[in-house]
Parts: sequence; C-alpha cells; structure tokens
Amino acid sequence: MVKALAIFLPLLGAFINAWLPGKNPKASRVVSYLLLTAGLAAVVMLSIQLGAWNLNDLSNSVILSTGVGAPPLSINLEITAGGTLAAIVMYAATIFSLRRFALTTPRSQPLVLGLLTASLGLLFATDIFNSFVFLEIGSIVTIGLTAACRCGSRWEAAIKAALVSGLVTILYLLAVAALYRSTGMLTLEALGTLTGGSAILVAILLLTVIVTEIKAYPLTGWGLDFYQGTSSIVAGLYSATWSLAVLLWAAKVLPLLPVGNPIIYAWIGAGGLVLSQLAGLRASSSGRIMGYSTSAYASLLLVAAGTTTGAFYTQIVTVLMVFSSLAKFSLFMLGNPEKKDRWSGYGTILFLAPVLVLAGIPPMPVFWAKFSFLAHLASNFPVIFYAVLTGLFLEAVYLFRFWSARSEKVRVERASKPSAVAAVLLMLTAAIWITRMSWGMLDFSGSIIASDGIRNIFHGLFAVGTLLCLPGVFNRTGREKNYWFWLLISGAALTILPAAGNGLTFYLLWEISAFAAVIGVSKGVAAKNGTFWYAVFASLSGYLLLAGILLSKGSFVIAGLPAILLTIAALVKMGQFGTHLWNIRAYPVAPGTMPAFLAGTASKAAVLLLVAVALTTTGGALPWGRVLAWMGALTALATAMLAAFAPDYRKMLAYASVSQLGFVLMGLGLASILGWTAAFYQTIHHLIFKMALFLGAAGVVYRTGTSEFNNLGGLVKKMPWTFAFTLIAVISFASVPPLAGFGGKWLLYNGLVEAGWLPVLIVGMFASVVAFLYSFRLLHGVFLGQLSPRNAHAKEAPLPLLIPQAILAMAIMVLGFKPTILLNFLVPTLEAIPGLSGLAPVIQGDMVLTAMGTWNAWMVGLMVMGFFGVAFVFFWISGHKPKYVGQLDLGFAGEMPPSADEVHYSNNFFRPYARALSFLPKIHAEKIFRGTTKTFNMLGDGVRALFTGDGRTYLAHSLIFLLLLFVFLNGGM
Amino acid sequence: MLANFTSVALTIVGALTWGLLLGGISRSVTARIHGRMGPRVTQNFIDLWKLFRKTSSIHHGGMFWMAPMFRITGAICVLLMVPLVIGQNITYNMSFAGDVFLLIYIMFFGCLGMALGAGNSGHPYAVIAVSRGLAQMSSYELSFSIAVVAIAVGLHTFKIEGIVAAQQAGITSWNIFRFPFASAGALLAFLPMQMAYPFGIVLAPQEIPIGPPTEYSSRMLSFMLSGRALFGVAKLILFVSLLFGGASSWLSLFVKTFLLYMYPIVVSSVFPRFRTEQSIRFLWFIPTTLALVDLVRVML
Repeated sequence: MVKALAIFLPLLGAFINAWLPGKNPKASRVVSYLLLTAGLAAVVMLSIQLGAWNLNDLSNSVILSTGVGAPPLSINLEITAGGTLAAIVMYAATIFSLRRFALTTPRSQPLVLGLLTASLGLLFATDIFNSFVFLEIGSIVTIGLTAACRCGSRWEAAIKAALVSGLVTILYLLAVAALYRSTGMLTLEALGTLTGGSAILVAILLLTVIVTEIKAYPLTGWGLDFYQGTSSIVAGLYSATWSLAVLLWAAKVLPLLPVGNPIIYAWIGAGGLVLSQLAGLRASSSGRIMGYSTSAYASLLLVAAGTTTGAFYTQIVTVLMVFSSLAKFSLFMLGNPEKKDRWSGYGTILFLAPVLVLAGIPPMPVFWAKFSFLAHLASNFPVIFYAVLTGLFLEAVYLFRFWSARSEKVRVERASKPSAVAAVLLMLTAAIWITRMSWGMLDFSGSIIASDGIRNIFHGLFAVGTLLCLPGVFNRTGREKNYWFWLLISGAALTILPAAGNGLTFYLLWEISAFAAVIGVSKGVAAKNGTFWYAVFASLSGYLLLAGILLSKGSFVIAGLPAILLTIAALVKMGQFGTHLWNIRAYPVAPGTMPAFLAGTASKAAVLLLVAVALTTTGGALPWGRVLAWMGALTALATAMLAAFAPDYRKMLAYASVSQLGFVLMGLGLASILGWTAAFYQTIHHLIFKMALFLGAAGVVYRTGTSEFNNLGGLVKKMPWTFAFTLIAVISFASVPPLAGFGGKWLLYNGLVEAGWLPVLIVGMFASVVAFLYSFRLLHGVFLGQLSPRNAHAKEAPLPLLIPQAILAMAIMVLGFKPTILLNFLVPTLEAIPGLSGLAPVIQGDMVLTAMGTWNAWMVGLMVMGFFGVAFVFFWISGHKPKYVGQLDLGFAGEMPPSADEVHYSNNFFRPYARALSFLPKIHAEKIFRGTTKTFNMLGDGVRALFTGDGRTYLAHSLIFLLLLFVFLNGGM
Repeated sequence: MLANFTSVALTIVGALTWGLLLGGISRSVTARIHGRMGPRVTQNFIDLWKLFRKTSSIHHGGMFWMAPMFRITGAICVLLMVPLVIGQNITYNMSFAGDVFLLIYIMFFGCLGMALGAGNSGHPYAVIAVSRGLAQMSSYELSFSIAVVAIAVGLHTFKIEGIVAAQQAGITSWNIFRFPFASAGALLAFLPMQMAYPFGIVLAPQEIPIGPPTEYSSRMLSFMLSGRALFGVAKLILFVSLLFGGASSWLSLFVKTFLLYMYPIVVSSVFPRFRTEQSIRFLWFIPTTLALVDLVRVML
C-alpha cells in the first residue's frame, strides 16, 4: 500500500488538478500539497524500511506490481533503497516549487505533478518498455512545461527538447525491437544476455540514447540551450526531478549494456568531462553554467559506470546525482534569468552552499562520494583520475566565478526565496548526516606530524593568530559585512589541522579553512574579483593536495609525484613563484582583520604542509630542496621589488608577505637543522609582524576609508600608536637589529653558507635589502610626510585593533632581545628529527654560535637601547624643547608651500629605481597567467563551437556519435 | 668592566674627534684641488660646537625629534662592533656580540632613523633624497654583501676578528690581494657609502638642497653631523679590517683610515654626479660583477 502511494499519489494529484476548474486554484494547490506530503511520507517510510539512510548498503529493494500479467502489459516497479532517497529529493523539490508555479503559471500544476510521476516511474522501472513509456511522458511534460512558462526563448528550448526526444524515441524503439527479437524479453536484465550483432546494435542505440538524455559531452548542446531558454523555475524542477530520474535510470541501465569492456564509458566520460568543462569556462549565463555542470555530473556517471561495480557504484552514483540535482535546484530557485540574470537571497552563504556542493568541497555531501570515487580511480585508473581531476578543477573555476560575479548583487536584494532556502537547509542537513556517517574515515589518533614539538608550534600559531584577529572583527568600514563567524571557522579548522592523522582529515580541515576564509573575504566591499581569485587558487591548491593524497594510497604522502603535487599545493597556498596573484588581489579587498588572518595565520598552513611532506617522505628533506630554495629566493626578490612600486598600502603588504615567506622556503629547502631553525623562526616571526602590520592597516582603513598611498600620509599625528606598532613591525621585518627579524635572516644565512648555497644566499640578501625600499615607502606613504586635509578627521584606531598590535609588538621586542627563549625550544626539537643534516646552532646563555658566526642578541639589544636611551634622556633633560609647528611650516626658501597634497611626495615613488630596472624584460606573472587563461579560453571556444544553438546540429551530433560508437565497438568486439 | 666602559667611551670620543678632523682635512684637500685656500682643518669642530649650543625653535613631530638619536645610536653601534687594534683585546669593544652579518644589518639602523626623521619633516626634498638614498643603498649593498660573503667564506669565519687575524701574515695576506675582485667591488661600493661623487645623489646640493637633513638645525643637526662623522670612521675601520689587514697598532689604524678616507675625497673631487638610475645601474653591474668573480672562485 505504502509502495503504491509513494508512486501514484502525484498521478492522482495531476488528474485532480487537471479536473478541478482553473477558477479555484487555491483548492487545487491544497489538494496537491496534501497528496504530495502524503507521498513524501510514504517515500520516507519506504526509505527507512529499506535501510537507505545507512548509505553503505543500498541493495535492498521491493517490487511493486501493478496491472495484470507480466510486463510490458503491466508495470512492475522495483523500489530500490537508493531510489527512495532520490524520490525524497524529487518530492521535496516539487513541494518547494509548487507555490512558485502556482503564482506564475497556475494551470501548469498538473504538468508539475505529471513530471514527478514520470520521474518516479522512470526511477523505479524494471522493464525496458515501461522505461520507454515513462521517458516519453517525461519528455512531453517537460516540453509542455517549458512552453507554458513566460520566458523569452521558451519556444526554442521546447522545440530543441522535442527534436531530441523525437530522435531518442526512434533510437530507443529500434533498440527495444532488436532486444525483443533476439531474446523475447523486455526486462532490463535481458540486455545482459544479448550476444553477437544484436548486442552491438542494442548497445550503441541505447548508449546514444543515454548519453543524449543525460546530456553528457558531446551530446550536451540541447541541454545547454534548454537550461538557458526555459524559466529558472522549470529548470530547477526539471533538474531535481526529471534530470535526476534520467541520470539514475541511466546508472541502472549502463552496467547491463552488452558493450564488452565497460571502460569505454569511463573514457567517454573522462574525455567529455575535460572538454565540456573547458567549454564551461566560457559560459556566462546562469542557465548555461548549470548546463555545463550537469554535463560534468553526467560525465562522472559514465566514468563511475566504467570503473566501479556493485554496491560501491550504487552508493557513489546515488550520492553524487541526488545532491548535485538538489544543489542545481536551489541555484535555479535563486536565479531569475528573466530579470537580467540577477540573483536574490539572504546572502552569500545561501548562494554559496549549492556552489560548494557542486564543486565537491568538504564537508558538503557530494564531497564524500567524490573522495571515495577519486581514491578508487587514483589507485586503479591513474590516467582517468588525472582527467577527472582536471575536469573537476575547471568546473570549480567557473562555478566560483559564477558565484563571485553575483555575490555582490546578493547584497543589494534581500528578498528571500523560501524554496531555495528550504533546499539549502535540506542540503546542509544532509551534509551533517553524511559527514556523521563518514566520521569513521577521519583520524585524529596519531598526527601525521610525528614531532610533538613541531605540532605544538603550529597548534599555538594557529590558535594565537586567530584569537588576535578576533577583537578587531567588529570594527568594519562602511558596507563591509560580518565576517567573524567565517574567520572563527577557518581559524578553528587550522588549529585542529596539525592533529590530523590521515590524508583525508588533513584535506578536509584544509578545505574547510580555505573556503571559510573565501567566504570571509567575500564580505569585503568590492571584493568580487579578489574573492574569485582566492577561490580559484584555493581550489587549485585543494585539488593538488587531494591528488597527492589520493595517489599516495592510504599513507599521507609518498615520495615521488605525490610529494611534488603536495609541495606545489603548498607553494600555491603561499603565493610563491608567480602564484602571488591571488594574495595581491584577495588581501587588499578582504574586510577588517581578515587580511591579517590570511597573511599572518592562514599562510602558515602551507608551511605546515611542506613540513608534513618533508617529515613523511624523507624525514626532513623536501623533494628538490635546492629548487625550492631558489624559488623562495627569486620570489622574495621579485615580490620585494614589486612591493616597492605598489600603489596601495594593503597590496604592498600582500607583496611583502609573499616576499618574506620566500625566506621560509629557503630555510625549509636547506633540509638542515640550521635551515629549519631559520624557517621556523621566520614562520613565527612572519606571523607576528605580518599580523601587526595588517591590523595596523585595518585601523588605517577603518579611520580613513582608503588604503591608497596617494590618499594617505601624515597619519602619525592622528594615529601615533598604530604608527609605533607598525614601526616596530617594519624595523623587525627589515631585519634591523635589535628586533626579532634579524635572527631569522642570520640563522638562514648561516645555514646557506653551511650548505654552500652561496648564490641563493646572495639573492636572499639582496631581497632583504630591497625590503628597505618598501618598508620606508610604507611608513612614509601612510604615516609620515604631509597629512592630507582629507584625513584631518581621522582618529587613533580603536582599542580592539590596537591591543592585539601591542601584544604583537611586545612579542617582537621580546623575541628580538631574547631569541634564545624560542631557540632553546626549537633547536632540540629539530635536532630530534633524523632526516635533517648539518650542525645545530650552539646556545650558550645569550650567545648563539654556528660553525662560522656568532650572535648575542641580548648584548646587541642592550647596546642599542642603552645608547638610544642615553641620547634620548640627554635631549629630554638638556632643556632642548623645540616648538611643534604646523605641517606646512617648512624651509621653502621664503616661498609659501602649496597645499599639503602637493607638497607630499607620494606619486611615482622610486621612479629612478623603476627606470634603472627598465632593461629587464617585462616578465609579469600576471601576463603569463593571462596568457594561460587566454589559451584555456580559446580551447574552450573551440570546444563549444560544437554547440551551435541549432537543433538540427544536435541531431547530427547524436547520429555521428552513434556512427562512431558503431565503428569503435564493432572493431573492439 | 670599568676598563670596558672606559674603552667604549674613549672609542666614541676618539672616533668623533678623528672623524671631524678627517672631515676638516677633506675640506682643505678639496679646496686645494679646486685651487682655493678653504677652511681650516678644525672648522668642523667649530661648526659642531656652534650648532650644539643653539636650540632649535621648531620640530615636526616625534620621529623628527628622535631621528638624530637613531642616527647617532646607529653610528656608535657600528663603531663598537668592529675591533680597533689587533691584539689589544680591550679595544674589541662589543665585537664579540656579532659577526659580519650583524654588522651589515646594524648599519641600516642609523639610516632608517634618518629616513624616518626626514619623512616626518614633511619636506619633499628630504623624502626625495631618502627615496634616492634607499634605492642606491639597496644597490651597493648587493656588491658589498657579495664581497663580504666571498671573503668570509673564503676565510671560514664570519667574525671580524677572525677575518683580521687571517691577514696578519704580511702584506700579501691582506684580503685586497687575496680577494682582489671582491675588494674592488667593495671599494666601489665604498664610494656611495661615503656619499662621494659620482654617487652623491642623496645630498645633491643643487637639486634637493642637502637632502634628508633639510629641515634640521642647531642641536639636532649637531647630533646628525656627529652621527655622520662617527659612522664614517666606523666604516673606515670596517673596510680596513676587511680588506687592508686591520690595524696592528694605533699608528697603522690612523694611517690606514686616513689613506682610505682620502680615496673617496679624491675621486669625488673630479667627478660629476650620476643620475639616480645611472648610479643604480652602475652599482648593479660593475662592482657586483667584480665581486661575483671572487665569489665563484670561493665556491669552486
């Protein structure tokens, strides 16, 4: 009884709706809701009966026989456990969207319910002719719904769908006839018994039908036009019901097709995935983007059908398809292509959750399936694995562009769309549910960082860094939104990160931290572009990390390719060697203390990853340590020069951050105790000074509303404390004794000399001297020189920003005067690591000794402070009290100085330096990157030239595909 | 302890005196080259005393006020980090606390303070001079650090004492003969360090009348000038220690520093001034290439 209710209540609803006079829409809606709720309840009951909620076993099923006799005269439905989950989504989507259909096109309600019925039928059909019947019903209802919507290109969309379904019908019926003629049966299982010529015929016919219906590449064209042409409501309902049903039906049929070796599916899928996603890069309208994403999931289905079997296959396919459909539904429910493609909703998160699901970012439900699936591919089908990973990365790129391009508009409109909200809530609940189920795969028992000391350093860094960013989160400028929650999530994930016991746990926390930070950045004003860049580079490093972990088969990372992939992931995260493009875009636009968190704290995750790779693979040495050191040195030099010419305060700090991380890389690359001591010292120091600088910048931006040098200057009079803390941080990172920065450089140089890497040393020293250029530019451009009348109202930064800066400045002083506090902990910790070569620095009291050098920070500190103190006191008590004068009272040879803005030297700072550099060929990472993007775009354009928008072409595609299959399978069999 | 403090105090006073005297001599020498009489050699003492006794009537802010202190502290620290006379341990002052790397970086302390004071003065000339100075400094430091690294690695020690000790086997053991290319690079870098022409783009009187200290006067300026004199002597002693075998007696210290001091004076008198970018490029290519030759030699 329950079984029948689950399937046929919508049908009943459709008839009632068609019968009820249109003058009483309310009554028909009430009836629909009642029937749908009852149906949903029935499906939920069935799913519980079949044990579907335990995703590990989806093989249970019950048979629902209707009519008299055997199929095809009757309809026999097999209600599978996985199918009930899909049915729940279908019911939910219908319920969520019914009101919107009622408001726009009230008379389409019977069609909506009809589509649900057809979807449920196809989902559970066991007979090939029954499937045909449902396919036909579904196609016709879709065409009807599309034609009924009030959108611009509905007729085109409907006619293309009609053309394709016509062709599909012909091919399908031919296949049915061939099957019946050979076997005398029409059940799906009969497909497996086919042999010889009829097997090939049926296989190629059905495969063409399936690829067309699921819209996998290269037969995607009609789907793209359909999604673009129809209304977002129809497209949403379609993707959550009919499209889902077709995908799961295809998943059922594909393994039964007599194709010989099913690996052909995987090749079609993997190739199609890369090509279609290349084309997806060029898509701009929301409908087409969703279409390309559909194509990606269809390709994934093909890959899964070709490479996996049994319960694993069912599980992966069910989770992937069900949740991607739900995600598309919620995106369509937010979208309004009718109204110039604008989005509306509660905010970024409502919008982002489905994008994260589609991109497979943890802990979203799709991620868990993707992870298991990719792990399987990595160990068994490496080439397909690379192709799939590439395709998924390309998909992530355009999905995040799509999100960032519209996330600004989200702020403007606040009208909520209950249907989308409901779908997102459903998805998030599912995320919690699946994460809870997959919890066993996580491991916190033993960390991948074997050394307790190193682990504790990172725990401490992440925790302290996050905490120091928190007080300032409520001081935001103008239209910036609240970001504290995301900062906290990101910081919390980072703090746990060093405890991760296996690759999956590490990856999960890494991605949570990265994408929480992406959301945090997106809350800034005009953060659209910066957020996109950050998201793309975060995805890139995430996918590289994933690839490395999966290729290591069980252990965290193994030497060889996986170690290299992980190293590159860390470099991207650090912004090294040309990947600084994201840093310089994301930091300047991130709100409030977010850049301090990103540059100061989050960048240390990359150091942690490098350390983890080194410790796991070789016990200390990184693969290609010398190459890494060179990358660090060249990055440090190039970005230091770029920083000197940066026109924006926070942009300069972003460059400087990358530059200073280059020194960490040099130290790690050395793989000696000295080198690592230097690297850890510099890592800790980088966190301290970079956070102090960015917190100072947050205060300046908060009070003046700008971070462009041309609008700043002279703020020392208004913000003396911010200046003082910034000054301390600047002196420190310029490595001038007696502050903390010198120690890192000294240790590093000693390590480089010990290893004999003198050229690296020279480049590093040059980079550290070039740092003077930007450190002065920074201090002068913001705090010294003439105060612009624009900023006359500015006040000292608020205490929540100042107090953390004071703590950090104090830390710089302490570390500068007594570095042995840290070294006494660091050196024994690193000495215990077996893989590190070289001699450890010897610490005798305040003295640090290496084979060739000596350094007594305490004495140097005392000397500097002593003489400075004496001079200061002398000036103070000697009665020398000059009068403070106005800022324009200058020695101008008797002339009246013009305005403060004109006297202030800011524009074209270091112009002679730029002129001196002009002999260099202009190799800009930016240009290289743009060139790469352009190449990808051209490739994408080439691929999408297939999709002409002409229905006849799409028919031709299907026929050519059929022909190629015939040639290929005939030769192969 | 007391002896150490006395040595430190005497070193500072002595270096200041010697620095001012050298300054006076240089003014005379330059005048004679120009065919003038010039001021007397004690003129710098008189100027300094005059300035010291006057009180500035104005200042432009905290950093402006503190810059002379930064300047003089930086100069004293560099001075005290270099051992004066070999064998007389009392004259080693604070050199036990660090090696050549520390010395290279602590040299920036005074420059940074000066730059901050100039910036805080709000005078565009001062800031232009600082931007030029920093650009030039970052360029000559390249060849200077290559030379220092080549010498230090070649002699297997970063300690100045060690470097000096390795040069005590006769005049041929001096680094200027053992590392001729590195020395040439370092000596070319010495010219802009002493703000000698053709690298005198920072003070450039005709363009940006006297650059960073434009707004300074009286006692503050006297501190600036004392800082400059001390810093000059410190750099002389450093170069003597690095390249010319150090000083084995007080006499050799004075003779060697005097002769080394004359080198930029003489060069300065006959050269016009570079444009900033010309100076930077020259420093990037000529001295750096020279110093690199010895670095490569050391590596091989």
